[in-house]
Amino acid sequence: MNAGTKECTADGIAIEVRGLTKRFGSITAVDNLCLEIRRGEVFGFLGPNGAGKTTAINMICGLLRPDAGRVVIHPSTDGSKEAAGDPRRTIGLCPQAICVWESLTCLEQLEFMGRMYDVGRREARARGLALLETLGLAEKKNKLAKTLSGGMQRRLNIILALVHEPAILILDEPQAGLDPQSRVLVREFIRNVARLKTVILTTHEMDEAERLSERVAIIDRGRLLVCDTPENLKGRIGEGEVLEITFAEGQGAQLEAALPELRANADNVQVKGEVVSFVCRDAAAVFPAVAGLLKVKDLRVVDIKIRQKTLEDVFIHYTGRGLRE
Amino acid sequence: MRFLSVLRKTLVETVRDWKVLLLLLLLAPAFIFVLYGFYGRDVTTYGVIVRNGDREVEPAAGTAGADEPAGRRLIRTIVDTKYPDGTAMFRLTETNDLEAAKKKIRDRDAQVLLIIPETFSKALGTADAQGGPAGGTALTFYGDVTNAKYIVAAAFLNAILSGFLDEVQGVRRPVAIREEMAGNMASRTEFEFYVPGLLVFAVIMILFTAAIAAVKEADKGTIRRLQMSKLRTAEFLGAVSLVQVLLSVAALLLTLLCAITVGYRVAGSVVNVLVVGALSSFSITAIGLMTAAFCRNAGDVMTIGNFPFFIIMFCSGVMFPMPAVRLFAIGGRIIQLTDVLPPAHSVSALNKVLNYGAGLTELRFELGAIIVLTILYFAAGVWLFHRRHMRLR
Repeated sequence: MNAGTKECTADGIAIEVRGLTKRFGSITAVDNLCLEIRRGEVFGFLGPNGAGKTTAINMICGLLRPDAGRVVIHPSTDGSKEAAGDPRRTIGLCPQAICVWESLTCLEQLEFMGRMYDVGRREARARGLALLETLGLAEKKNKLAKTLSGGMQRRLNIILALVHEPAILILDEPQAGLDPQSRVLVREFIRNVARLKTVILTTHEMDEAERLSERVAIIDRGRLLVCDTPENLKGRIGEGEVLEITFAEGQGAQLEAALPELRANADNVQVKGEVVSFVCRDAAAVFPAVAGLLKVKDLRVVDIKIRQKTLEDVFIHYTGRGLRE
Repeated sequence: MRFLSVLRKTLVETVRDWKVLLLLLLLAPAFIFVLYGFYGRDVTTYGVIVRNGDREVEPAAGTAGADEPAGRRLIRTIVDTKYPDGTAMFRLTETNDLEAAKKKIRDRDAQVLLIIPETFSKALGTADAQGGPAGGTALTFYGDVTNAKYIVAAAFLNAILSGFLDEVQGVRRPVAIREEMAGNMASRTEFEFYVPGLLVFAVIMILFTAAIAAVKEADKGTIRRLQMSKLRTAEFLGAVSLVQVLLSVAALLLTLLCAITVGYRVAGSVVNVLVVGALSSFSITAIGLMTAAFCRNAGDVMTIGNFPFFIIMFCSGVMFPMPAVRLFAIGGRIIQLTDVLPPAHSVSALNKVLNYGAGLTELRFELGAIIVLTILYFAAGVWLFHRRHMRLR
């Protein structure tokens, strides 16, 4: 059982994941994953590419059969007929790839998806129009999907998952390839949706995960490393800020020699190539001592900055690697 | 209804993807005009080269038609042979250069080389009244048996020669041989012989579009959305297939109308042709679904799809008759290996309707076979497609 399950009560759980495992040949894509996702929360799945996020999501959605373990989708408390049926009907999935019908207009495909869930034609059309409005596509309702820009297609990709009004929305890398304007739009949209639904978000972008998620599960090589709120996760790697120093190249031996003394100034020191990060309770207070040490050791510095901790720091702490490595 | 929604969506997508639609609808009709351009409205006239070596001796007294040498009269008989519409059956040229004539046969510039021996008139003149053997004299046919036209031309010539020899010798056989042609085949033009094959071709073409229509959902990833929904595999494939059948019937009708426009004569009912075509389309669509199960995208369909396409084209008798490989018999009817292919029955049924004017009741076996095979192939197609693209993994 991981940290994310500690505060859960049975009534508040939307999805229970127990010992979920999936192997493809000799590769274990998801390894004994255990999670409890609470009703109404935005839950972030954070991990590098190939970490097993999408495989886990596909098993949660019922699109992939696990080799071991199980997923339980709890019916919503409103006792709706939809929720009590096939778990897949209670979930809306926005796949990582853009999956739209290129030769249908935006509105036609929303209507079509609604019909696939037995939503009446008028109702499906009304919902489609409302969804297009919320993601800024109302003017494009009669345009063929293939004529939309990449960002617009990605927005359409998201709302196609919502036309049947699922209780749980799963967004697999929803912001990949989006322009800054669309990112803001999608972020706001997810926040609005989260007021009414449980949202599961997979991403390898820690900023987005941190901005949107109430709780985050960090997954790497198929294994759950940690699961908690972003603040708690950042607290686990030490208190305070991060003092980050970027050294000039070609000083490997000198840097190696200076590290023990540098570590004495911080709770948590991470080295990634020429970049050394210290988690310090009071970075400003530590800075003079560190600067003096750098001078004594004759280390050439390219950049020094004091910043807030990020989920990437958490990931590096647990794996020793960056999210994009 | 989900089925109707998929049907409507597939129709809309098909119409908007107009290039594929045009290819499907216009390819077979285009071939109609191409073939018409090649063959026109003329019935087949067979090329015959004659080397007349007959030493034109005076025929013996008492032989019929004795005022002209026999070789010359035979040539005239051949030249005068006509189809019921008055078109000459043979285009005859005379030569003395045997090697050049044989080369023309090998090059298929003509179908038959007829060599009339030196002793032709003499042999006929010395034959007894009962047509007894004159001995040592032979008319020679030279031809290429791999040329289908040679077989037909030689058969026609053989009948003409037999009649000629009987007449010249005044022989009356106790049993006459009378030839009757099935349907209206005698006056069929060569162009018309190719039309049934093109009609089946119009139907077989949907193998590709049916497979593409099904597999593109997997290729574009939209099948995951459908998998998540309430849509069942059978509903999805049923709707996609129905659209293909509609397109196929439209292509068939268009092809037939084009053929009729340029003079093709349909002995039976056009409605019956469409019934056979619609049922055949279902079976080809089912084969398309089976093909789609082995493909990941439209590119795969265009390569892998060629295997079933050519198997159907060559083995069902669409292009040429296949040798019979007997499997078993049901109620006195022999079931052959090629009968497992629905288009084999389509070819047979269309042949009966187009050439002999058969009604649906006369097509019971063919239609029954197509329906049974379609059900089997469709079940296999749905199962394979579901297994490959729509089931949980």
